[in-house]
Amino acid sequence: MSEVTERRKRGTARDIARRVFRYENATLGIILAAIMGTLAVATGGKTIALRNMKMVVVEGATMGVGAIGQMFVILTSGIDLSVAGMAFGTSALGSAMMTTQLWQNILGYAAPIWVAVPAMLAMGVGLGAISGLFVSRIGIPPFIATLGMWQIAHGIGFLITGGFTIARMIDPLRFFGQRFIYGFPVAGIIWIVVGAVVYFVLHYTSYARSVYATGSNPVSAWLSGVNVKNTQLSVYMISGFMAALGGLIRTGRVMSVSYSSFDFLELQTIASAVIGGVSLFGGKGTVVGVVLGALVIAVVLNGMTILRADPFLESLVLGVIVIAAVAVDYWRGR
Amino acid sequence: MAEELERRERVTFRDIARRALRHENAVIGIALAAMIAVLAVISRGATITRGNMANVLIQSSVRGVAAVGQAFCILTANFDLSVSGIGVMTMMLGSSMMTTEWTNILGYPASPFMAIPVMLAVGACWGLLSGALVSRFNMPSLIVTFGVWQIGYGVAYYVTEGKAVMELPESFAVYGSLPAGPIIFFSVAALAYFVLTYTSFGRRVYAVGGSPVSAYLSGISVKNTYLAVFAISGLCAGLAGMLFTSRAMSGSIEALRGLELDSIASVVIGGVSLFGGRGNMIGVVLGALLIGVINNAMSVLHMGHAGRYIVKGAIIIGAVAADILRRRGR
Repeated sequence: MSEVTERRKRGTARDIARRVFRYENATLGIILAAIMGTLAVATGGKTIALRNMKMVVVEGATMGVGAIGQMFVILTSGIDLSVAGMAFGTSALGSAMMTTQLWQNILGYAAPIWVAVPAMLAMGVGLGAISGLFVSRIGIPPFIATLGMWQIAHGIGFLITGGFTIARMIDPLRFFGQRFIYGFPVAGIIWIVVGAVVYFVLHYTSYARSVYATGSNPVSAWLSGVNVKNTQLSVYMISGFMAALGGLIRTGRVMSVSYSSFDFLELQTIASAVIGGVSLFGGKGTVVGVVLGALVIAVVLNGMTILRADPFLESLVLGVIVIAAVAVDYWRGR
Repeated sequence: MAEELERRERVTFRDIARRALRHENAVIGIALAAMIAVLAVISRGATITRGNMANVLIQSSVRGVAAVGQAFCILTANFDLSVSGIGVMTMMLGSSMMTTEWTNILGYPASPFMAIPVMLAVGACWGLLSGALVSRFNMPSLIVTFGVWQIGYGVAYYVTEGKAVMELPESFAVYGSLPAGPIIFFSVAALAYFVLTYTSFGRRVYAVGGSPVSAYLSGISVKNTYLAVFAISGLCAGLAGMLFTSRAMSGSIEALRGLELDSIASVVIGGVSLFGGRGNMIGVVLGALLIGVINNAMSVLHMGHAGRYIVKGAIIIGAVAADILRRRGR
């Protein structure tokens, strides 16, 4: 009797191990661990010091939250190139409302958090809705609609800031980027909460079905009663919201906004999603993978900074990682 | 008899007009003409002076050459995001071969006749690399070329450790200035038009873009076609890098930023479908000129950054929307 239980237990342990390895994000998790291990050795343990790990999470949160929004768009086989522009446009609005430097303030007084933050998020959703309408109602290819929206949102940001750096924001803004709750950064908590909510939405709601269905085959999705147009519209609104949230986190961390604050964010979010196993052809991908993907990029960028690598070596390494991640994914799929 | 002839002539003229209007590049052509006219009025003629028009042509030739290569990729339903990365890499490599400064990597200033082929070959080779990854490993082009773009910047940085290169030989200035720059642009575009319209390779590009499966079933090597279009795009990116280096007579990492998006925008405004298999080179040339005219007018009119970004974004979206609505109307 006890033998049987033991055997069962042993079997279960093996099963668990096997399951873990077969789990779709296993490769990525192992890669992340390997990169962290290598960097820890290369820097003599500096990268895995607790303080630095917190920095990685805070730095990565902007990209990670944006990547979750990007994932929704890519799941419908679209792409959102406007993330960086949106993050700048919305952060420009928020910071111009919250700055105490009155000549830069568009309201004439420093607005409290509960006025400025909803305004930022609403602007993100609104601009996202415009690209969503162009894509779903007129049929403009997502690449073009969001490329145009990137320019427009960036232009709006310039319009608000006049091209200057906005600083001296009200103090409560630090909450989003510099504060810790029980030693854990608020930015990381936001990232985890967003990830958990999205995980829930993608696993337990009918909305998720329509997103995946739209991405894998819009025609059959339409035929089976999915409102393809509204699904497309909604993912761009989600992506706009996430871009604004990411912008909020970075603004809270740096406490200033300039036109180059969010350079390459759109490419970093796409890279995170793709490294995380989201298929660019739509209909395939998980939020856990996307979070891991963003962590990989954040860890690498942070490690290179600590190693004092040239900024352009960063881009070289990032390029190799993106190509390698996709190559591994394709070989594994064969 | 005379009446009949007259009527015929009249009909023929009307036919020509009708045909011209129904031509697939008619809208973009009219848009370009209208844009030039409107901007000339707004700027009180400042945009259509001879010097300024020459400026537009020279500026457009860098973008245009890159757009011609990009068009080959987009016709097969692929993207080439690596254009500016490859362009900058060839720029830094070529300029640091020719310079008489201490940044020279050869130890002696090479002549342009040696440097230019090297620049073009390097561009084509990096294009081949993207093409190989896309065609042999079935990887999405967006990601491959994004990676190559990053690597290109990294390599460009390594050539001179990020420092700008000056002091290029005087004889190198010819290529990017008037009249050689625009002539190179238009001859490259004409060659591409000929290849796409009158050669079997051109047919293959359209067939693969229209439907890779049916192209494969009719005996076309889809993989080699992909390989070829990326090599062409890389070559054109190298040429664009060369033209820009010659125009600026210096090499700098920041120089070609945004060229990949500008080239994609030119191609798309020119009526090439992002889904592949539809579009032509005349449209691409007009698209590149349109973006050139707008960019130039905005700086002639001293427009701020905000306005520039918003106008450019609106035009990109507007041009594609107009195209889609026109097709739907038929």
